[in-house]
Amino acid sequence: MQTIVAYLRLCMGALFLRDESYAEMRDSPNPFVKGLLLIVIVAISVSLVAIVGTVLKWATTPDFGRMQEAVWEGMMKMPWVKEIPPGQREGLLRMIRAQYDFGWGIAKQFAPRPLRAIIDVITNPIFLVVGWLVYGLLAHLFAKILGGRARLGQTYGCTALAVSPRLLNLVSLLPYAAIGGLATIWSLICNYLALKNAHELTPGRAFWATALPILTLLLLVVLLTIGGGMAIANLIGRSMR
Amino acid sequence: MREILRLGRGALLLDTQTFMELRASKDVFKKGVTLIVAISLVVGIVGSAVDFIGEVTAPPPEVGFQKMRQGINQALDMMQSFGGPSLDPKMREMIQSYMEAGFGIASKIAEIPTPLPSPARETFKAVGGAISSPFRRMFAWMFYGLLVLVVAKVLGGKATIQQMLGCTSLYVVPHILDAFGFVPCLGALLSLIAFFWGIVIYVKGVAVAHDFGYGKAILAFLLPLLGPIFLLLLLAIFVIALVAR
Repeated sequence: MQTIVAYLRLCMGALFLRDESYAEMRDSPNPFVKGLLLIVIVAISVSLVAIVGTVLKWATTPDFGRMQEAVWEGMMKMPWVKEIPPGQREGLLRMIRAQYDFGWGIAKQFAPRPLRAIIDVITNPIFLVVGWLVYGLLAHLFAKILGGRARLGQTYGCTALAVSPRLLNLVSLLPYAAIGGLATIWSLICNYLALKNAHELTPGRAFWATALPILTLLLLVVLLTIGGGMAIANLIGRSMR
Repeated sequence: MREILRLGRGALLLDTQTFMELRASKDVFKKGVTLIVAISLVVGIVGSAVDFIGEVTAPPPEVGFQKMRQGINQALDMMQSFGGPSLDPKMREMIQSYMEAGFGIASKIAEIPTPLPSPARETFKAVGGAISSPFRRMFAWMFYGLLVLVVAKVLGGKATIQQMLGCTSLYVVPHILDAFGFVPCLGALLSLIAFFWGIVIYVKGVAVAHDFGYGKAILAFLLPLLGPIFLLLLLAIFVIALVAR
């Protein structure tokens, strides 16, 4: 219990951008393990709370399947249906229905689903930890290139504190309450302070050490998308020959 | 509380001492966040309460549909009486049947039962909306603040990220007037006043945080806004030149 309280205190310090909190993490005996635990605790707490919010939202939202049918029935009463020549009506309506169901299939992904909220208790910590490992490694490399002094464990420990703005997601206990993109931008600022304090970088260098891993990852995603697109186009081209 | 009130008063009066004390404070960022949360919550609670009262006292959907029906029919009549294109009776009938189908869909969706009764949804929406309002404002403040900070640093600014965000957070004080947004006409006017007063305080915040003159502060404030507009203009000119060829 004492550990959780100590972590919460550290998180609050990091959230309010106190340099001392980052320095405390940097100088702690095992910053990597401490950081890992912090991320897991935050991710699990937030996901557990989100279950309550999702269930309440689900309980106050009309069933999507019934909405889908209500809209379809209404559409069928519109004059455009009668304007389709009787011979083509059945075939055309079947085609429209398939497209309509596909659209609703996408919409249903945004419907509140309690089961998915329960699964998120496991997947959220995994995604957060993987993201932290990838970003931390790249950030460490760039910080070292820019003259940084921290060990890899210290970089990981300090950048783990950037998870603290995710605590704001605790408001998802209430349905229809959302923090939007705030956690992302706040985490970015925390990462900047983490790298600045861990590696004792100047503000300019810390800025680049924070931004370059994101730019690198974005570039990688763009290249993979282009490469994937070209590969798929190539495969389709071959199969059509 | 007293501290927040003092900060608010100093910000509204553009008191340099208040800005400088805030910049020198150890908890400059925390104070900024507290101020934004406090004011946004007040505005959010008032707005959500007004919306909630409007929702729960609203007449049943059928009454609303009847009003809309009358409105659309009146608009169609007016269109003809003011010399607009005469509407074919068949066309008018078609517009009305689409309208009726739309109302039918809306009332059927409204009738779909939910596990919790309808007032629960309205209550949760009102509370959720009020709680979310500080987050929306904080996102805009942080996002724009970062852009201004980068420009200010290029111009030779000296503030840390905490000082920059803390000092500019004072822009939120006049936005307490947004709480009157529900008052017809006056609400919009007060919001407009709050918007421009907020800009002036923001510029002052940038100037004090970075130890700038007002010229540089205005430039740092405007460049993140004007940069993309300028780039879009260049792109538009480029596209027009291409098309003209």
